[in-house]
Amino acid sequence: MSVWCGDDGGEPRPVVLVIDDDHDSCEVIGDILGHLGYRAVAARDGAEALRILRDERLHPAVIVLDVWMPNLDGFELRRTLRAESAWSTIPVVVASAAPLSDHELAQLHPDAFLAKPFGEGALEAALHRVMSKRVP
Amino acid sequence: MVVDRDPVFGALQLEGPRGIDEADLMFANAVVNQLAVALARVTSIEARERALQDDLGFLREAAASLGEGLLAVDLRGTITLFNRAAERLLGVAGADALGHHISEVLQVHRADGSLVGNEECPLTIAVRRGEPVESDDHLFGSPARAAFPVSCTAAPFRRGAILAFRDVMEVKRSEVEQRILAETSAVVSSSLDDRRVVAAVARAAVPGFADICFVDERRPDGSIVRDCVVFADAGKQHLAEHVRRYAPRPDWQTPQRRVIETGAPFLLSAVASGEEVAQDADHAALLRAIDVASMIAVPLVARGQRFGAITFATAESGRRYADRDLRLAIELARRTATAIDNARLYGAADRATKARDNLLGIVSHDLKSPLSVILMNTDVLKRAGEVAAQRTKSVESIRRSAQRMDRLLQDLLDTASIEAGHLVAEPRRVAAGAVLADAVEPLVPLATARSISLVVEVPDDLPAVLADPPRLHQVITNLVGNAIKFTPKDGTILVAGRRAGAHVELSVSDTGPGIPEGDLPRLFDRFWQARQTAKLGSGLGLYIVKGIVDAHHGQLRVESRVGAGSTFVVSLPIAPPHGEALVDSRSVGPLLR
Repeated sequence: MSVWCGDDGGEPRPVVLVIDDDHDSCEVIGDILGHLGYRAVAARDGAEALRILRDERLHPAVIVLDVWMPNLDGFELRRTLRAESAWSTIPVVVASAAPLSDHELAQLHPDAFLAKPFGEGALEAALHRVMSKRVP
Repeated sequence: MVVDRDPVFGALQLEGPRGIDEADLMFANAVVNQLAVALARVTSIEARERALQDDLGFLREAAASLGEGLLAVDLRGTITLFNRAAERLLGVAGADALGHHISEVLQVHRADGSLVGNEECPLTIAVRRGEPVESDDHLFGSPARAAFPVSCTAAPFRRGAILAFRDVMEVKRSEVEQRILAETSAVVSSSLDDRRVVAAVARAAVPGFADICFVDERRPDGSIVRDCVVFADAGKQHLAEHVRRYAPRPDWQTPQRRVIETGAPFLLSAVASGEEVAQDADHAALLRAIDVASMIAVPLVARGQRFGAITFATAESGRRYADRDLRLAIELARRTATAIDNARLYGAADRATKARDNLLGIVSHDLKSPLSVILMNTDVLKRAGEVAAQRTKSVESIRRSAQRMDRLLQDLLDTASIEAGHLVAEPRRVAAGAVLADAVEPLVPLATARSISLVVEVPDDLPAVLADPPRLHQVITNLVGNAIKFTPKDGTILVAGRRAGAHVELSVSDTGPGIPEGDLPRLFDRFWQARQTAKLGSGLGLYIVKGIVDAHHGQLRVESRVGAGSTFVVSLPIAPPHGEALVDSRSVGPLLR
């Protein structure tokens, strides 16, 4: 688990779990999230994400999910998340570089979708959208 | 005077010792008249007989000069009439036919070639029914001539039957030729699958034109493969595999190879023993088993390229090919070749389109991720008051992303070179261990970041190999990069070198998930990715590795089991002891990075 922006002793920051096999993507998304007032935790694939959620009992406010990853891809992870009551309500922002068919998109049940490449503004808007819909 | 009313055709003189009285005259007149009537009758019969003889002579002459074969038999089946056309058509002299039983001279066959018994013979049927019988479905043969299709009429008469027939071989042949050409045209215009075209043409030609048909195709590497072996006689189809085995080999000068090499059609009207065209005793035995009678081989040519030959042969039909058949064969081959060419062009265009789509997919996907990183980092940098450390980190991230995009472009260029056969390696004597260490070193931080141990094991006495150092560096980088991508946390990657006979084997083993057996054959295909790893990368890495190893005349193999990791082994020839000085790969440096 990588954490770039920990709590700074003040108001606890909402945690965002960033799942992406591209190291640089994880890193820069983490930087931006830190700037936007979140705490970012990175996982390089679905398997690592599950381990963090299960073993480290992390309960993120939002998940930013890449689709194509080794070991456990976005589809498989999303199925697992939806099947587990503790995780099924966590909003998911799907971020994909590959175009997705309607069928694939439906399988992912995204609360927001970001097509790579995207900038800080698009990420902020997506997070804002899912956070505002979130059941407190 | 002897009269029979009119004309007067004689006179009778009566003399006697005494005078002739009225009664005598009356008596004489009566006698004369009787005589006249009798004479008149005789004369009339003679005249009629002469007329009949004339008529008969005319009929004989007419029958003799008739274009149709004409023969008559009596009720016992003995031939009583055999005209010149019958002699010509059946190849039997009149003297050898007249007085002989019909069965010694004429054999009647059904359309399928089987012999017809006496009961089914048109002559017998005509006699039995008492009326003429017409048939276009029989073949006639004789001891002197093979069966040929006829159109015939058999008609009964009081003391036998008469049979008129003509040879319709040419008519039937024209019909068959037209049908074959029509069928071929239909296939040619409807299919864009070259194998289907060839198979359909072979089926169209058999049995109408040939008893056996097959196609020899020249592959890009010059080898010739034989396919689409079709027999008219289903009982011989089991010989197809043997026929395929006799596709011309490089050192054989078979008719088909000559046809493909020179483009000149080949016609062997009468195959005597098969020795003329056989390569060895087994081949000759095969030709005897098929009972080849006559053969034609013609080239398949399209747009000036000879890419094969099609062979037509006869066997059980006994048909002998002639020039006219060669013309039909050439026309069939021309249409077939055009269709195959069209199918191939379509296939190539289709593949090119798919490749382009794949490429677009890869380019868009693989460029979008680093572009996204660049875009977000520029947003970070734009922010005022960013600390120096963050700036350095973002700039570093941008640089790495740009390098990834550059690498993808280089991979695409390498792929294009391999596709075009332009990827060249310039092998020289090189210390493989040094190249290994050099290629692995920059990847250590990446492995460490993922908690993967990257171990290099190279014995000090590993012999030098013949390799192009930057290309070998690229091979190792790709294989190790791949291994890092698929090895889970806390896994191990072992990069090793060892001597194996006249070769050095460089291997990259990982503790990743392994590759399903079914995926192994396609592992080195361009753009191919296992289902589980779809879209994780361009799918070009292993294809390029294979292309580079091939350019070195080396070997690349993979050993893998699901759950037990994978090992990729590159085998390169050991450099001969003498030659140019060993190149230290460190002074050459990596090609791409």
